[in-house]
This record gives sequence, structure tokens and C-alpha cells, in this order.
Amino acid sequence: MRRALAAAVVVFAATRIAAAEPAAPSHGDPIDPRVLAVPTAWLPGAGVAVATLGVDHRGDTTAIAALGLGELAALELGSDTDVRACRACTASGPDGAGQGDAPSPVALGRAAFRLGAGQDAWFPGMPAIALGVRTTFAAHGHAVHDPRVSDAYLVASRALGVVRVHAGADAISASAGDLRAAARLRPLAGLEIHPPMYPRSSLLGDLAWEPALDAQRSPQLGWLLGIGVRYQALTWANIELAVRARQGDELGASTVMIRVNAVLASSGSR
Amino acid sequence: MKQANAVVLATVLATGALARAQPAPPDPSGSAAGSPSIPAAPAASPPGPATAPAPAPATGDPATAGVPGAPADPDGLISGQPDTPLDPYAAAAAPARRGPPKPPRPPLDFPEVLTTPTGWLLPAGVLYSKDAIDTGGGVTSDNRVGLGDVAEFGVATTDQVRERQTMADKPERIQPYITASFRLGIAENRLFDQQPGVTLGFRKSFERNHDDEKTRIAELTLVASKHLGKRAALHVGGALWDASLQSTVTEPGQAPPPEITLHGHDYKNQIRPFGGFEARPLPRSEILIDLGWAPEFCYQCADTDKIKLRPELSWGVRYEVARFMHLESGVRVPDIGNFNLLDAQIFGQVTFTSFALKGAVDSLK
Repeated sequence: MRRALAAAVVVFAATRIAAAEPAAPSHGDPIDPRVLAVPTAWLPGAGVAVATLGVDHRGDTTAIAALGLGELAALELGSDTDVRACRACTASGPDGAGQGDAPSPVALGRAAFRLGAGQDAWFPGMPAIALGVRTTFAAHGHAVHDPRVSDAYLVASRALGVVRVHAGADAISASAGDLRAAARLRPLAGLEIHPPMYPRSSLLGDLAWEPALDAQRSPQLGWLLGIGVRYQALTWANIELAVRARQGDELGASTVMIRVNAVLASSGSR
Repeated sequence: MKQANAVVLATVLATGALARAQPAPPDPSGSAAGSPSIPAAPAASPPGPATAPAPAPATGDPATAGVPGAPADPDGLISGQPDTPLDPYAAAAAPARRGPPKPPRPPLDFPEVLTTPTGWLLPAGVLYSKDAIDTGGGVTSDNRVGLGDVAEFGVATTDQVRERQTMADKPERIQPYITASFRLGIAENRLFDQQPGVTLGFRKSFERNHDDEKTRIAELTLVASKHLGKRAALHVGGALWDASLQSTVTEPGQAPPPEITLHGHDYKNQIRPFGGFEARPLPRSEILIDLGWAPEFCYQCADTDKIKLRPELSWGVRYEVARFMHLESGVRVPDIGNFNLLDAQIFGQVTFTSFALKGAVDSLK
């Protein structure tokens, strides 16, 4: 009798888990704030918080929290290690020429403000758009003096059936000590594929740009290519596994990272 | 044993019947209608004055039982009305329920867009407090009170004033820089239809000693604000700035260095236009943009360049979390004239407004 009861409970629980829907915000748009490195135009709803925690195989960590403001904007605060720096990497910059000391990750505290509109907000078929500004407020464990990175981007996102497309442009400015690089414009691109046969899984790919800070010369921009998988484990959380490669790095220097995103909605959020 | 059971059962039933026959006890809170378990005696009678104590003869109150001339009330009914126990505190509670319900408060028009003043004043007695932090390390606070619907007083700290040693240096903010402000004006549509809200404001800093330099700023503003429909508003104004700079380092036997002032040069350097725009695409969310000015001191520059006004562009969102609390966040570029993306600052600020003082003052009227 007990075994039958336990079996019934297990079957019921498994049915509930299998029937669970992937997380979706109340206003219809997804809310994932980034593909892997590329920001999306999706904004969290008012009062909704999105927390991201990640680590790569080198032990470099990422922790970012975003808060939706009035379904119009989002404020992000966190730390990441996407930017690299070296004391004398003049001969081994992003172009990969020559030999120099290897760039090391810089843990930058960064804040971002994003203002945007959701899909179909102004006219049918309109993609979600977001204008974002991200800037540095702290740096730790760096090889250069006073590293600062700021960027302003305009990105559009649109869900097209099983595909979600993200495209935009990013103006990036960086400095290390007195060496400063003026804002330079670079493209942003991201793609998500949601296979219908795996409703809780998606394939991710993106192309972003990050500066490489150098104590000897002005910062250089290099591309950052990522590919990975996202699994919607819970209605309020998903997990990502990705590989990222940088301009100038060998294939063996690619990083493998794991990241968890959690959506926290207050009872009064809309 | 069976007889005892029957007696006990009969006693319980009789006691229950007697208890049920008794009138419901009065609700100590005087709001029996709100209690689901008690039959609402006041609900049977009209609210307001009807719940007040009836005249003594009609109450059946024991206090009147022995009064000569008091009519007898053998059946507990006088004029067809049943005797019901009355709440002795009802008379005190009744006046609070009189009068029409208060209309909901309209949305508060804020005295600032993001960094520039508006042509709107705080209502009389309303307290306003804004605390902000940004990625440049700035921490500021702004506290105000509305005075009689025609004026406003406030004390604030600002991080907008900046300094540098030479033009080649990166400007740094001076903080805390404490200011006091007084604004007076006329509310929108007060004099005639479509009249914008207009305020004349004066803001003055306390003297600030920093890096062996003594600085002060002052600003006189005239600004007009107008709602454009229910979802947008425009602010346009002009400011007359003044500032002073004086070194506190004196050579032995020498007179102190002269004070450099902004008004000591061309008056055109003092006058600046400013403005802002608000849009409310959602009931509780606003998009804000404004362009203002802030002084910058350069200690080692030529006298004519020691004090400069720099344009400052801000944009962001104001989100009404609750009637008394707003969250604002956005981007501020301190010197938009020499646009440098690295100087952009992300800020977050929380604003509290309180009508408690206004309510207390109104209750005294």
C-alpha cells in the first residue's frame, strides 16, 4: 500500500514538472537581459528583479542584478570579468602578433541603465528596442591603473517563431590611466533558437566587443564570440552552459562558463 | 443515570434558549456592522445621526426608569421602535463619518525634473526628500517643504560642482556642497487657463573650503512648466549664475589673494537657458530628460577661465512604487559640451513625499 502511494506521489510530481511552462513575463516579452554577452532589448517588468551568477573554468566570476523600473527601463548593478588587461601586451594585442604577457581578466564593477519599449509597443511587428548605457564604478585585481570602460548601445530584439534575433550597435570607450580610447562603434549580434521538440532548451550564439586594456598603449577593441545552451530548469530560473572565444586567443584559450539566471518578482510587481 | 442525563440535557437546552433570547452585546469598537459574527444592530438603523443616542424617554435606559413623568415602556417598544442597546461612544465616533469622502489626491508635480528645477511648487505642508547615489561616487540629499502653496524651502547637498587644477586635468567633484534654496511661484492655471506654472527660485551654497580654495555658488532661476495633455510636460527656464573662488593660502606679510567671481567678467557668462521634458507613457512611469548647467572651478587657469559653467545632460525614468515613494534612475553626462562617454554616470535615487504635515495643519483649521 505504501509503495503504491509513494509511486502515485512520484508520478504526480513528475507530471507536474513535465507540465510546467517555461518562465514568461506577464507582458509577453521574454526578460532575459542578455544572450551571453550581448544585451537584449527585453526589459524586466516593473518591480521584477533578475539575478545572474556565473563562473568560468578559470574561476572568473560574474554577478549581476537587474531591476525593472516601470516597464520602461531597467537598472543593472554587478561585476564581471569580460574585460582583459595586461601591463605589456603591446606585442600581443587583439591582433595576435608577437609575444607579450598574457592579458588577465579585470573584475569590473559596472552599472547600466536601459530604457526601451517592448515588442509591438508602437506598431505591429515592431521589435523591442533598448538604449543602454553601461559604465564602470569599481575595479579589482587589475594589472593597469584606473581601468574604466563605458559603452552606450542601441539594440533591437524580436521573437520570430522558434528564433529570437538581436542586433544593434555599441559605442565603446575605455581608458587605463591616462591612456584613453575615444568611443568607437561596433556591431552587436545575437541569436536564440528554441527547438519545438525541446520546449525548455534553447541554443544561444552572440558576437560582442570588449576592450583590451594595455598599460603601454591606448585600449584596443576585440571581438568576443560565444555559443551555448540555456535550459529552463524552473519557471523562475534557467541555467546556461557556454564556450567563449576572443580575438587573438588560440582555440585552446577559450573559456567554458556556467551561469544561472533567476527571476524574482515581488508580489506587487506588474 | 438516564434521569441525570435528561436533566443535564434539559438544562443545556434551556440555558441555550435563554442565551439566544438575549440581545446582542454592543461592539466595544462601535462598528458591529464590520463584524461578521455579530448581527449588525446599527445596520438596522440609518447611519450617521440615527446612530446617535436617542432622547432619554425613548431609550428605555435604566437611568430614566425612576424619573417622574417618564412614560412606561412595558413592552420595550416606544413609537414602534425596538429598544436596542446603544453604543455610548457612538456620539464621539459619528462626526468622523460625516461629510463627503475626500477625493483622491492628484499626482504630485515634482519640483525637479532630474537636475533642473520645474515651474511647479510642492503643495503647502508637503515634505519632500530625495537621496541619490551614482557611479561616480556622488551621494546627495535634497530635502524640501512646501509653504502655503506659493513657496518652497529646501536644504540640499549637491555633487554637481567640480574642480580641476589645470585644463588638462580630469575634473573631480567637490562634495558635499551644501546649498539652501527658496522658491516662490504661481501654480499652473491659477491666474488664467493655459497659464504655465511659474517659479522664481534662488539657490545659494554655504562657503566651501577645499584644497586651500574657498568657493561659493549662487543661482537665480526663472522657470515655466506646462502640462501638454495628461501625459507630457515641458519645462523652460533661464538661470543667472554667480560663483566665487579665492585661495586661502597667503604669503607672510602679503594681502590675501583677490577673489575671482563670475560676475566680475562678461555678464553673458552668467546667463544660461535650461529645460526639460517629461512623458508619462504608463500611469506610474515617466521618462525624463533635462539639460542644465553646473559650475566648474579651475584653480591654476587664467582668471577668465577659473570659473566656467558646463552643460549637463540627464535622462532617466521615474517609477511610482507607492504614493509616497518614487524610484528614479538614469544617466547623467556632466559635460555634454566635451562629450566623453567615460564621464557618463548611472544614478539611482529614491524620493519620499509626505502629506503628514499637511494633514496635521489641515486638521487644525
